[in-house]
Amino acid sequence: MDPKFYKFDTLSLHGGHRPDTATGSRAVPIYQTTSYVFQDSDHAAALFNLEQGGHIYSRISNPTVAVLEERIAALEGGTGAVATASGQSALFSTILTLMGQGNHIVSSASLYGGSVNLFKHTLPRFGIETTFVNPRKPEEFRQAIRPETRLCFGEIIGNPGLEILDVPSVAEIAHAAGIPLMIDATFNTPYLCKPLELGTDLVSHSVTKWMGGHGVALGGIVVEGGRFDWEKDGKFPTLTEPYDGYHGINFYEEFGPQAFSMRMRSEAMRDFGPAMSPQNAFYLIQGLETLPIRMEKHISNTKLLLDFLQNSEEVSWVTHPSMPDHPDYELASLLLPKGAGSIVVFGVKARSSSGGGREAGAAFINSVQLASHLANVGDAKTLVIHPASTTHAQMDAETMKQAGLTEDMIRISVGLEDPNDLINDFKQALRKASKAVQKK
Amino acid sequence: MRLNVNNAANDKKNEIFATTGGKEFNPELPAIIFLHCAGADHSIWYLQTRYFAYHGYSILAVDFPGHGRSEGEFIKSIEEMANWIPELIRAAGLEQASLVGHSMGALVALECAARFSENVSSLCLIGSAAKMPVHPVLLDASLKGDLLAFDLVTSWEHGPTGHFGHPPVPGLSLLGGAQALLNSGPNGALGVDLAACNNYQNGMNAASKIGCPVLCLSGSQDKMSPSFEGMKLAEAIPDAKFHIIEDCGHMVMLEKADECLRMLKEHFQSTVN
Repeated sequence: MDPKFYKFDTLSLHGGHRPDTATGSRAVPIYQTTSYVFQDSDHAAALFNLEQGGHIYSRISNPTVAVLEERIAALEGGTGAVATASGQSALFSTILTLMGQGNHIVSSASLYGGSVNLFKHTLPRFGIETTFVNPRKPEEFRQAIRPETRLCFGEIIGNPGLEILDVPSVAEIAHAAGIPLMIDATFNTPYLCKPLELGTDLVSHSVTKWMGGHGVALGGIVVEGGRFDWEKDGKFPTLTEPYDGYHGINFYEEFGPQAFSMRMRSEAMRDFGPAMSPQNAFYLIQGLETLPIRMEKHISNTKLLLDFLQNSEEVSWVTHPSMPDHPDYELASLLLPKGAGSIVVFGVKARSSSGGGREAGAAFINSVQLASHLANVGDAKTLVIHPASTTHAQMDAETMKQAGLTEDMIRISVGLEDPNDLINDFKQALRKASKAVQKK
Repeated sequence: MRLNVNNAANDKKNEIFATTGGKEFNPELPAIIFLHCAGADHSIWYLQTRYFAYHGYSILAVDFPGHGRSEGEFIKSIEEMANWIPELIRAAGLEQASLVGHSMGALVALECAARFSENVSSLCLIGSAAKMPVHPVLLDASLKGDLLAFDLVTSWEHGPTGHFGHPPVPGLSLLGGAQALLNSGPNGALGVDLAACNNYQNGMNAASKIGCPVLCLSGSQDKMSPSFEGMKLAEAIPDAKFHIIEDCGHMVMLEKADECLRMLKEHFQSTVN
């Protein structure tokens, strides 16, 4: 018997929204307002005391942003979601919702450079330390967990090394220690993999990337799984003990499987203020509507580009988790059966003894015409970058090594162009890069 | 709040959990006890309990034995659950309370008010019917612990607000919340509860014996306890009020929380005081 839930493609279009009852607007309206008129003083007091649901002020919630939140919560299979101004503010707000001074995080070392900076350089100033571990060795998570650890963190598809995290194993290790697992799922989107179904407790995204998909608006989100027992080991007093900021409310007791979302909105959004703008939410909602068909094309273009790069004489190496020689090929096939994302990394062959791969890579990037050289991923357009000199430039040599980064590495975010045009662009850029290095 | 409540079904005292809506429980105030549906716990009531706790009432949104944070064995029939309510009332230091029940909780409230009129000052029955036969596929799956049961309940108990979204609290997912609640519940709770609902046959008889003020609320698109069944029950209860909440499924207190709260406020303002 089919329970008849709306399926992924339908939720991408309809989740969180029904035609506006006041105007009949089919599109999600942009509620460009800071604040909302109360029905009366009793209603106002009830909203402020979390006795009733509703909007008070757009720093805390907004009707357009709420559509995005509910849609992504539905796509991920979560109990709720809180959208933020960026993926980084989603991560920071999550951490501050869960822990404080003296606590500790165990994180995969293969992360977006901004997240590494946050963990390594910024959070220690607030008394929160992080131990980085090899994403290919789940046992290292277990070994790094301390009594004060409050979060295990990773990306399913590591950035930029493309290591695949064994999410079910890490979740089991984290849960055995009474700790939640949070996954930054930006690179996979719920179309390719739903981390909550693999045992993850919190999922975050930079919605700016594939979810929005057009490189026009920043946004982040955290989705709650609702199955983690915050109370069992007494490690999360922000959720399980009275909070004076709301008349002594106990979030887990009151809101059960939605406790984290309620606490994050009630405190992090109220006090730190990383709100997403309704205009950005609108753009991101437009992107979400076509997420399934875009992801399909991202994946098919990635396959064709991989075929080309593997057979190119100017390419010294290329890797992607869908390639049988990738160390995580089998795990990727299991966790990401529809495709292992549309990020490809490769090295341009150095042709002379004096010219290294770094120079060849730079020459390649300077020669592409269709692909854009910029610091983003997940756009509809193909993007290229040299991580060692840009997104991950703040890393020292050891951290770069831990993150699987090499000096010659080029990262491609494969877009939706006609694959033949894309391959032709890469062909001519590789040829020029090869000649440029040979001339030296 | 934790209470030691006697369970006559097995003659054991169990530690029972009830949320008080964020305020300290004061037995001197008019008390409202909220009773949850099959397989659930107190958290389904958060959009009503906190309001009443801050507006002059004492609240107990209870987890039935073996559910949520309450200890003890499951109570296996509506009649035995009804017998348990006066024990809860006494354990809380009360003589009388208003009962608000949803679905299975509504059957318990109905049967309790018929048996123990001296303990029940008023009733609100949400998503209710005199009989609640359970679809055999669902009942079978729930008794076997098959996860299909969670999916079927989640799907059937929600109307358009659940399936499309746009719930009263921004950013939350009603379907996701229901799935998580059912999944995190104790093994077997849903099956035992649904069997109790399926076996209950005394609804119309109990209805005729009710002497306190009663409000019945039904969702217009309720697939679990259709509104016409709710209306039949209301018609059998002397002087009961019946109200249909439009565009709403079985989970009235979550899907249309504000309208549900408004109806409850009117009910208690006109009856309890």
